[in-house]
Amino acid sequence: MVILTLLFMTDVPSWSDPYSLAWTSAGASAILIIAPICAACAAWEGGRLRRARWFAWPHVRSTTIVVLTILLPTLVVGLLMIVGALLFQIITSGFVFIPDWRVLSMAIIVLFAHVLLGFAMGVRIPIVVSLPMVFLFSFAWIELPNTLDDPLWLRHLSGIWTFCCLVSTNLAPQAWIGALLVAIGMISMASVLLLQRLRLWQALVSVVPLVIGVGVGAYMVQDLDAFPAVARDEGVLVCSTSQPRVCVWPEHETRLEEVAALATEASMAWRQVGVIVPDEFTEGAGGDRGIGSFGFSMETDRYTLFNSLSRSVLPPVANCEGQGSVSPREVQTYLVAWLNSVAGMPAEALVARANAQILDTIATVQLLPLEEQQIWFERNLIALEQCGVPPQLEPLP
Amino acid sequence: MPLSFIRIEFRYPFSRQSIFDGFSWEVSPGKTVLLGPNGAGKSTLLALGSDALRPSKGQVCFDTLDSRHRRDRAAYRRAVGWMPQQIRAVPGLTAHEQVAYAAWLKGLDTKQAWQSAVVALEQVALADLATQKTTTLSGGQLRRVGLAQVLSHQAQVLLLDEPTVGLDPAQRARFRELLVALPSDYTVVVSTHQVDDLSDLFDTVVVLDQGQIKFSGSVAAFMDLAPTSAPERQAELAYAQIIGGAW
Repeated sequence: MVILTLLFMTDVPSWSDPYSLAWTSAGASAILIIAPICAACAAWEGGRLRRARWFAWPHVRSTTIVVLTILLPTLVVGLLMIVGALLFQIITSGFVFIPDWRVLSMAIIVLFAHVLLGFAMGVRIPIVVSLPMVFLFSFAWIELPNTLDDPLWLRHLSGIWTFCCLVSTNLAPQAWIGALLVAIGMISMASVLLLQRLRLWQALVSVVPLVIGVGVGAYMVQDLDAFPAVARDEGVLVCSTSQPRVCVWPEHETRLEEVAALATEASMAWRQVGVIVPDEFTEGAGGDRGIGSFGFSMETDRYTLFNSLSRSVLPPVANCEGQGSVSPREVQTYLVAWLNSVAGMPAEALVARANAQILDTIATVQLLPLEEQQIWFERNLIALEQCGVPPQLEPLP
Repeated sequence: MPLSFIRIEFRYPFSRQSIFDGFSWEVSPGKTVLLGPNGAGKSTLLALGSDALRPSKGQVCFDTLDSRHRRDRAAYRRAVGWMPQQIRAVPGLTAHEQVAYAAWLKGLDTKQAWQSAVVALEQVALADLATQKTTTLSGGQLRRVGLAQVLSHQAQVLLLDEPTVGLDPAQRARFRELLVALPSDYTVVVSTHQVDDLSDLFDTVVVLDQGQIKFSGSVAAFMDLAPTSAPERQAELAYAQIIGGAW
């Protein structure tokens, strides 16, 4: 299991931001390997008691204590593997993080649910059937939904959220609750199957809690797309005292000063050519013209950051698919290139971000008097926002 | 302290035929031998007495403990030891571990269970095989492991289902010694087909047939039922007299 988990861990996504949620999610995805193996071990333990017919033994200790004692080694090994996977992530990430409690708790709950159900199957079904069945069910339940294109939300119910989340997003509460309901369904099913005097009707209805868990869980996550994520609470943003104000996610705080300086420098340049600059640049949603929304990661270089700030000065691009010969998206690339150039981005950085035609046009525009550059910018800004307004990318002679 | 079966009813799932229907029996302290033909309900009765099976109606009590009541169940199960007809090995466990595990299941703490398993294995002359996996033991050795399991948790009632089946004569003699050595205030019920040496071992003989007690009395009263012409087969003939030669 250690080797398989290690091999798996070398393939999990690595993130450039020191975002605990993202790294914990990637680490906890090792449950894909850990849960099926531990569940199969539990089925084996159940099979031993079944063969010896000891589960029906009139014991004094409670069934809960008996079962937990038997499963303790399996659970401890599983937990150690989860801890190991997270340590691997800490080493890989290069920063020490406190694992996200929601992801970690769900990994533990999922492990427990799979192990308990595996044990119950081992107690009730001959080992030659229960062991492979438990392993395959456990593996398929976690992995199979990830391979389906539709419905995408089904994957969130397994409780393994490998790609959650970008620094601007947070784990969707409904994904956590949905996965919890499924796990409770599995635990309830196992608890019924582990009744000492199991009757046939009880065995048949044991699947009901699981069906309810999956049903209610599915209802909760059905509005989510491929990622179990919602926008992050902007209350955690860390802001500069500079003008314009710059707000970044706490994970980017170490670059706040640099970004703020860059924003101040660019804003001054843009104002000089008459561009209306936002009073605030934020990594949050922004939303109106007064606040520019930008984003970056810890690995983002100075000029990509610059580019992101330039883009945030512009309004949202209109969706005009099939209308007109020049799309607003194309207009945006011209305007961003001009803003970059105005703010002082060196030629080699500009070349990396725009093609020769755009750069030629921008160079021509910059030869115009300031007033005409402003007219060019305003005219194309309207074309960016409104469908049906033709842009004037090449300056008039 | 007696073990009482009070108006119990029982039948196995998917079976139309009741094994017991309003059956009552009070087992007094001392050693009782339970005789009866195959299918008489001996094993079922002992399983009911151990709480491995539960009657659909009626009560099974030991002293003031009622096995039906949740609050009494643990104390009842602790007080009653049961050796089923088939002793099965738990794969992977040694004889010592299996006996200790049985004791732990019966409520002894880990240290006590470990120690009492050593004593119990000595009582059944299996100390030298304590570290051997139970899956490698012979049928007779496994029965002794089963006996050690019952002895390990110091039960006041011992329900032994065919304890001497598969034992060689020496082991059977050892079992008899063990039975004789048990304190007289213990309640011991032994279900068996072996009717020799009854007088040495047991205080009471009970004959069960079709879920009903056909005879209950002292060994002497049981022997008196046999024709006097063949004293060496007295017990056998007495039994045949009750059952009608149907064994």
